[in-house]
Amino acid sequence: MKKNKLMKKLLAVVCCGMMLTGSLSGCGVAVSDEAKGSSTETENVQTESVQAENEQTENTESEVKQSETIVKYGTELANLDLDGTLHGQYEGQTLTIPVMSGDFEKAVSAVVPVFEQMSGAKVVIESIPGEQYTDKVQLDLNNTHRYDVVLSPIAILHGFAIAGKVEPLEEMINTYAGESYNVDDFLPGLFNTYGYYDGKLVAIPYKPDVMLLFYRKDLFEDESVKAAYQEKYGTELKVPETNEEMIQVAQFFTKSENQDSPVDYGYCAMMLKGSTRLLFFNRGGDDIDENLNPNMNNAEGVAAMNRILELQKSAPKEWVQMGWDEANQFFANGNAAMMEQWPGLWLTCQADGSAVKDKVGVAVAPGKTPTLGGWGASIATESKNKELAWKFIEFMTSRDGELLKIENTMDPCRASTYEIPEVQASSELYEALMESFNYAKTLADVDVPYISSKLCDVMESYIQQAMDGSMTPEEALEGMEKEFTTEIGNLGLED
Amino acid sequence: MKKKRMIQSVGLAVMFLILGILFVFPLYWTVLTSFKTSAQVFVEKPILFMDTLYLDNYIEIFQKSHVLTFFKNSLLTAGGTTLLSLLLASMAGFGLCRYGFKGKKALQNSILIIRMIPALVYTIPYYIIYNKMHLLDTLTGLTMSYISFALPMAIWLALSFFLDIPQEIYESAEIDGCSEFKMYTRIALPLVKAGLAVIAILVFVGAWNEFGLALVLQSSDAKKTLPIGIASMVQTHKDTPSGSLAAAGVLAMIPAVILSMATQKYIVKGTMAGAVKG
Amino acid sequence: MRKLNGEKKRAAICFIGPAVLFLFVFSIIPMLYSFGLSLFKYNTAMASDSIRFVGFRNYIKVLTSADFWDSTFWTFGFAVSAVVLNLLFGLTLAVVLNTRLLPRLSKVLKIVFTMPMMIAPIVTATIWKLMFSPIYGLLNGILVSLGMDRVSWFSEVIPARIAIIIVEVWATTPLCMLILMAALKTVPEELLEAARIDGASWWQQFRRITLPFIKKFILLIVTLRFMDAIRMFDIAYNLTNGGPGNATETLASTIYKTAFRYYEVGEGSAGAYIFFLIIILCSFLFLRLAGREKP
Repeated sequence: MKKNKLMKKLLAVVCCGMMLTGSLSGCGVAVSDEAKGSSTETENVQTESVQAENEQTENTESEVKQSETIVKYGTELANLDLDGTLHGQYEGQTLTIPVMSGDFEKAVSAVVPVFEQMSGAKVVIESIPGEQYTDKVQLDLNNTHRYDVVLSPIAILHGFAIAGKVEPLEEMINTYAGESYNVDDFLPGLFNTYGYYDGKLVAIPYKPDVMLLFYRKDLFEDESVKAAYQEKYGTELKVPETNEEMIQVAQFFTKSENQDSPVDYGYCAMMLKGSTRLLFFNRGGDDIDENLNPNMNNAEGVAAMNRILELQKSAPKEWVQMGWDEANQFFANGNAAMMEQWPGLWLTCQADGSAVKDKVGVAVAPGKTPTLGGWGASIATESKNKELAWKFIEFMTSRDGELLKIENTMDPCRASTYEIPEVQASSELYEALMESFNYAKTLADVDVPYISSKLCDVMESYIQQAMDGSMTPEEALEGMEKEFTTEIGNLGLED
Repeated sequence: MKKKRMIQSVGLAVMFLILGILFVFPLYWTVLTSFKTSAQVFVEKPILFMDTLYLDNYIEIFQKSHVLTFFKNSLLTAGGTTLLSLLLASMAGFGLCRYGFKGKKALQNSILIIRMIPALVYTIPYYIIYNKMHLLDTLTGLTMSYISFALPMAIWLALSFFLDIPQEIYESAEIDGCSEFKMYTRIALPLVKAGLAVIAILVFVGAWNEFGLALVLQSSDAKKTLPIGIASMVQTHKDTPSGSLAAAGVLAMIPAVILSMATQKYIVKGTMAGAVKG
Repeated sequence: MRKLNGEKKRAAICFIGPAVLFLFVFSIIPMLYSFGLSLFKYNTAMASDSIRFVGFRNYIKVLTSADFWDSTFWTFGFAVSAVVLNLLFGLTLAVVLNTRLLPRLSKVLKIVFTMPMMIAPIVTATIWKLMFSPIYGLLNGILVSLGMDRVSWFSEVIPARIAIIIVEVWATTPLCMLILMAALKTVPEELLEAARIDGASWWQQFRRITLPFIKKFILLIVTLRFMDAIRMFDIAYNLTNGGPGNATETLASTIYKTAFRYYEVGEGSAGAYIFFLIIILCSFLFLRLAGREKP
């Protein structure tokens, strides 16, 4: 009898299973509508006025009225209709855009409702976790061709351009851009490095990024510390601008070299496998020249390596194991006097519980060769709606569009935006950031199409070997150069 | 004699205790981390006990509005995978154990071999094939691929549990005129309950936590599973929200734990030993 | 082998057919597809006209790469140590939880002990990364409070390897424990009873009665676990990213990087197939052993 019962139970379970899988796809459809509803709800980053407008869109048709204006950073966003080129004329068209989960997702989502209202088009955002972002975008560009706009780190975007997966943009600008869309307003260094590749304009700068020097303002301004420095070196303590100054200041602030140092270490950086090359670039090293030839095995390269080894003496010995979180926390806990990092460190320093809150200053990385990061926007070649894709890029990167994205850590790319007093006042980083963009020329990712990640890994491996002493700087650079030559040679880019 | 047995028991108990601490402590640490602020995570003297629990990590997860959708998707996918795998695997295991035929050994071995294929062999083919079959970004497609991942191991395990049933039981049932289907449902299945419970847990957990394939196959927020949601919490150039990650991990563990509790009694009862006796 | 009569034949097809069909469609076809890819020079980052047939050149490239062999050796060393520890710990836990001493407690403990395998790998990696962290980590905290030096877990070869083994064993032993617990149920109680009456010690009971009964399950675990361990990927990838240098790069992570980080899908697939052959060879050995055990 018992067996009988069990059989019934099992049968029931099996039936349920069948029904369940049978209805899976049906369920999915239902879910998607729900989720779409909720996704528009979450965009609370908007100002009130935008939300008010949003609610209206539901019952207004193609007729767009810009009755309520949006004000951001004291600036009225008067040209959201891009000189009348949007005007609801894209009704019924759809764009699909991949974004990296987190800040990018937030920043793009903040722009979407306004754009949808202006253009009448529908924009679908697909978020992808950061680690795997590029893989997934790559797969789509190769196979499924669903994405219209491509937002991506610059070096990767350049690879896409060489492979013909993103569209040259000059033509698009000439044909479709509103008359006031001004590319000359972009910070020139940024626009040239990001945008032009292989002689073509392939990307519009979306998020600028550069390594900055974070230093302990409280220590550098402390009179007794200054006096001690003066006494020791005979010069005034100031925020270092050259590599030599930096090494000396770092030594001064390191307990093992100077017992009176107010902090344990003079310098800190994330040196986990994957980010050591950033320090190499910051110290004056290079990866490749314009003709894609290896350009690290030279006097500058050796000097940069030796500077890293010098700084290593002023850094915690665990720094080789420090990734983003640990290194940042180390600095935020007040253990080091200086650190070089991407702008994101600022948030860690200013977070609740940070020991260095309001005690940190920001400057251009000493030596004035800061590593450049950053993201650009482009159009997928296979997009079925290139015109609308361009309009969205234009919208995001227009003067008004920039003001909509700043709140979500997408710093401005336009000189005119940095000039707005309210924008300047909104972040203590902007001065150093803007200055850094004038100097920065080496991209964080080796800017060779297709094999960028591989060449990055090559650099990492050799720099680490030079750091642990198993190679001299010269040997490491030579090894690096050799592998670069082989890998780039294998590419056969000429044909 | 007694003394010796005592020593052995004590030795075993001590080893058990050490292992217990080693295995349980990281769990405790996960739970504890989920109640910490990030400032409490990164301190030089790790905090082992906490007076006040900081709940914001949990609240934050629920404020991210898609979590419930992800949860539901994961539940549907992992549940469907488990049920269908159990059905297919128990049938195949029963068949392979009960019937002899030419090429059986080869079939068994090839099933095992399929299990050995590194998962990443499948990723790109699935993406391309599913794209053509319109199965990309569907829960059905994902479930199908999970079943194919789970099936070889499930069959192999089921087979080894079925092999434990003495053949005489079938023979006497055959004499009683029992049909093959009834033999499967009434005799074989009840005897391998403990084994099926183990298989169910393994398959469920595997599908529940699978990340790589789901990432490639699923695109829209409406079709993503929980591990992708958790991975999305980590951003480049942003501090890792260790507390929220741990909280998400703790929450994500709940269904598997419930399943494990629900199947507990089948494993514990030891039905099989009883059946052999009777 | 006796011939099956009509009804049995039909039954056999009904029972085994669905699973075989399923595996054919969802495993064999993608597998063949992937094999096809392995014969092409196919870089997903490049324009699609760069794809061309190269025969077995991808295979030669993988087989002649030093990285591949380095990672092969470490992967095997890793797998063997992980499986040995898995068995040892899994068996201890299963045996203790199986004793009738504390039925209530062992019920709860069983659930607790199975929890490590239920945590999403990314969470496992995050938590262990925190524990191994050089300055803020719990493990180094303990070492320091015991008056020892901090260990740079991920930046030295041996500690990094030990760390990976620890995490793998932690996450996978519950599986062994579960299977072994089910296996222990197959040991007839009365045999143990009889032995006990005869005055056999616990160890004698275990070795003479329990072990022979659960032997095939142990082999099963060794086979399953060994195959999983040499495919191990996410722990190494998330914990050390293969570092320091390439010291903890496993076979799977090397192949993954080739296919997804360097976009060489053809070469990655070739690597995966070579890897596959290696696994088959190994498991052939296990199967031989397992086959010998059958009555």
